[in-house]
Amino acid sequence: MEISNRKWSDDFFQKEREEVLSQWSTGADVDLDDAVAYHKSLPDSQNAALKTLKAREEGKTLLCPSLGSDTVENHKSLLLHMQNEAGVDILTSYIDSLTRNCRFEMASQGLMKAEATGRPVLNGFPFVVHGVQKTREVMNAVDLPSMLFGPTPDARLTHEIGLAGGHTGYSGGPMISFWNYTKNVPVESVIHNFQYINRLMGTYEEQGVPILYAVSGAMPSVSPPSLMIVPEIIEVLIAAGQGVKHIQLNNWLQGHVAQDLAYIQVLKEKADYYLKECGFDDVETITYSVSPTGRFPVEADQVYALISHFTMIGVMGGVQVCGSRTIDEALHIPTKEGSAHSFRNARMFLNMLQPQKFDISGHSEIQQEKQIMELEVDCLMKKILEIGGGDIVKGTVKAVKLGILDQPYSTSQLVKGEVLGVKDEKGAARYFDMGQLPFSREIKDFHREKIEAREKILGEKVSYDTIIQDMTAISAGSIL
Amino acid sequence: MDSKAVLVTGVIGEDVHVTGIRILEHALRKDGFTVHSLGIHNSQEDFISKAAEVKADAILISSLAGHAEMLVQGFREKCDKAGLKQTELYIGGQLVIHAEEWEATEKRFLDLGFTAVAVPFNPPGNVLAELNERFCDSRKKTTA
Repeated sequence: MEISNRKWSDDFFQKEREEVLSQWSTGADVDLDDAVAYHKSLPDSQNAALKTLKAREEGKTLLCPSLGSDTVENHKSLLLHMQNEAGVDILTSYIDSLTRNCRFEMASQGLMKAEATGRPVLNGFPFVVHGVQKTREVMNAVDLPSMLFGPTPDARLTHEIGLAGGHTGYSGGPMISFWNYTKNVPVESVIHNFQYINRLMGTYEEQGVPILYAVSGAMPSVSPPSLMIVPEIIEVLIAAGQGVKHIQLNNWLQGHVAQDLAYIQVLKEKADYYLKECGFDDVETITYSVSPTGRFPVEADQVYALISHFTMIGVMGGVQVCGSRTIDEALHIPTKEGSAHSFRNARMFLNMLQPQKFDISGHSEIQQEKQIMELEVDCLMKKILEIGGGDIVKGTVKAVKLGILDQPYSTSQLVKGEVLGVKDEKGAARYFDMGQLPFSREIKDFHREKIEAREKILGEKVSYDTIIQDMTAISAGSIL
Repeated sequence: MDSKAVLVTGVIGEDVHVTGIRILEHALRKDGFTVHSLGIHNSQEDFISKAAEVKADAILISSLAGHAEMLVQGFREKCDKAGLKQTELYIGGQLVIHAEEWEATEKRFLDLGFTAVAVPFNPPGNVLAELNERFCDSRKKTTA
């Protein structure tokens, strides 16, 4: 079957489900009717989609970490600590990387070792080897909603178990998984696996169980926001194509206030616009912000300032959910204590700022950033839809080959990798190299002028060495 | 412009850290080198077969996960056996897990047959300078 954005037929989906559910013994325990009944037995306050929608109505910002541990006991105690000590609003179950690579046998061995020794072995929760009942055991112990977390090219069985086990969302997506988590897997294969996941979420929606799907687009590395926004909109449209109704838009904040705030507005407006444009008029979108992975300072007091800075941008941008980095992650995998400190810091900041409803959306610098970002997004989206004959999936497959969809520093050998970002004189991310992006003269001139302004201050041309400095600047203690 | 030298680049082992080598590839291409990029997750054999195929002047290995010493054991010898005696070997990144003086790390890899070892976060400009001196200046001399 040629891949397209058409909704999978029941037959096609069911046939593939049989195959997926047979990948590991626990697949046999997945029963959709039972899963729907279990979800309906849980209170609305334990549903991520409903909880975030309520936050949107009330103008509130919720806090959400991204953590996971291996055994049921370890994971339960981690989530309870986040709920009770860190005071977050939504929980997550980070999927361990062996399960994310479908190496269930190895994950099973790791889990046995962890259970025998009581010491964590895996870097997340191995949904597939635990199975539905064990996953529910965790959900029954907590009062908050929990989402699956972690990009991967194939999380089909993990979703079967995780959703049936009471999780009400997932953060990841085909584009981010393709750019950052594959080497030689074609984008169409990753999209196919996500169509399955989205079709499964759509099935839950049809049965009256809202599921929150958090698209992620691309991880930035001094990247102008259009490099993240366009892949996110593609993930939104692919999800809507399979019946997903609740979508969380992920804003990857890089620290430049005007550019980050413009990003939050443009992503929401353009995602809603292209949903309508492509005929999806019953999809709810909510917004989320987090600072990206990358080098962070080692000193906790410096990280507290960063957590506050990024929380400020999220709250000012009016996002419904804020994620956060943690004070100890430059040193090791974050501890639950380190995470609790970090989120309490974020909460205090949020509590100070949010009630003020301080609106700076009309600020001229934000408007200028918005204007250029909208031009870039529309230019790319129109081109991708055009070469796909109106079909976003077909357009995406072609656009990756042509470099119209491109990323710097992708792990995939199938990505052109010609685009590169550099910071301007104020620390905003600009295009150093536009590769094959079909941008207009106006867009090209804008970025060139911004980079020239920095060169004037530097007294020399920006170079590859400048780009490296930009990527490590925050860990060295400054935006520039 | 003629190519200054033919290079094979990539990350060795189960390491996904790709940013450093990607940016270096940009810099090398722009400076006139021919770059054959292998990306992440490569074995010694992957490097050798590509280098033999393209008659590489040098292999540039990146590694950030700290297991490099284990991963490049015997690499020089295997290259020699595969007819790549003239192919120079370079390595850079976060090469060791433990804290030690840089000179000790450097010596460790020089002893394994590498031509040069780059310090962590070595800027691309330094690599270009080194490779230009190695390949371009010496070639100019021999052709002069």
